[in-house]
Amino acid sequence: MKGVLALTGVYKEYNLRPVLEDVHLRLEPGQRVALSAPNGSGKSTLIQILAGLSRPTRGAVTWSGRPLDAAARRCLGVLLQQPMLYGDLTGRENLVFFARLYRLAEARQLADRWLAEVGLDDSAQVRVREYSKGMKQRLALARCLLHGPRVLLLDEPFDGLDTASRAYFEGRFDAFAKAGGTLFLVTHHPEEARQMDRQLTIRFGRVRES
Amino acid sequence: MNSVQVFWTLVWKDLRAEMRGGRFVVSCLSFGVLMVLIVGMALNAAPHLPASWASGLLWMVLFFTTALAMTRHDAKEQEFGGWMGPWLAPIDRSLVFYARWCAAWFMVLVASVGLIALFFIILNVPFPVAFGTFVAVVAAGTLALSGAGTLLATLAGQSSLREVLVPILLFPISIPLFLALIRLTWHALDPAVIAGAAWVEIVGAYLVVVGVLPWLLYELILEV
Repeated sequence: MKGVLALTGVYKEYNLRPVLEDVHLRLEPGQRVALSAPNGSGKSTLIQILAGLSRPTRGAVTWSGRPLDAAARRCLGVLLQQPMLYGDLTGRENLVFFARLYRLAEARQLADRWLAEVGLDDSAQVRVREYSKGMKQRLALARCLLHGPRVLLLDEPFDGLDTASRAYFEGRFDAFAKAGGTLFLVTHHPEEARQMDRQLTIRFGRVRES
Repeated sequence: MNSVQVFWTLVWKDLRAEMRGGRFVVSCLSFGVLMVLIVGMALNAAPHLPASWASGLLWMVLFFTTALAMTRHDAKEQEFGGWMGPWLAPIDRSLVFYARWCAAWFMVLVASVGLIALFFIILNVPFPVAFGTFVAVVAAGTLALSGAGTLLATLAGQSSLREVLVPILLFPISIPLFLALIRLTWHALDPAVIAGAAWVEIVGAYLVVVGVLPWLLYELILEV
């Protein structure tokens, strides 16, 4: 299912202070988009609105021209600054849990496959609380990719990853975009942003090409 | 997988995490036992604690332990951002609320059984005469309290003061419920005391409001 994730005239205010103003953004299939902006400029707010986790004060978020509803959320893989995992569950239990929420068949086998894929098969039965930062990030990325999303919204996805893991996920994301997936990546590293097809920034709440 | 299976998956996650971490029931029990002991010492383990006092004290203990447990439960969900994970899934988001409520109620109920037993032993309160009524009141009361607590935890979820806000907001919202539960428990301890149907209706109304409101508003609350 290919689709365009779009923001139209989005405003967002927190405590009457505008964070985003008149944002128009279209994320096309196969496109790799980087967003770089200073701290506190609204990057996290923007990614949360795109993910349907935060409602814009004004404006619309659409998937293929329709409001972003529960069915459309199935097409999104989201990584925010937190890994969105449960510390008291093992790595395997976390993936099985999310596979079931996405109503995927053979959740256990799928979880095992992804744990092996991201090199966590040896730690599958260890509680996430005991994982290192890099291990949590790898598991969080596996959670994002588990259900075969069409759009990846990733906030600093390489944070905490070692060189080998980073190279692996860079390859994965490239293959994902070549297969028609949309990659939206928030990064503070200019070299990461330069590798993308589009580079965006936020100035005074407005999203612009940089 | 239908919605019922998704619901049980969400409940399973909470119960599994609780079995590993044990924070909800343990914090509920330890705090509740301390409260019962302090009350017991303050009253000098009164040999004939009036049923009206006993019912009030019991619900005071259950209220504070539930409020504390809701805060602990919420903190555990927030720890690695896990609370946001289910909201991304293609499910009706109100299911997340009902599953959290169900799991929280079960854990409050488990802790309450231990607490109530200790309450009767330590404070030397006579066994409830109308035992069936007593069980029904405790079940309905903890169900309503844990539902209101779960809803408030979501409302306060984005606030930096959420750990304080949940118990502070839970109390004024629960006053009519609190009064109804005390009166009905008093009746269960001493059936000579008449508890009018209005008290049952108040508890029922709370359950309806806590049960229906999130279905209508939960998606909106989450996205604000």
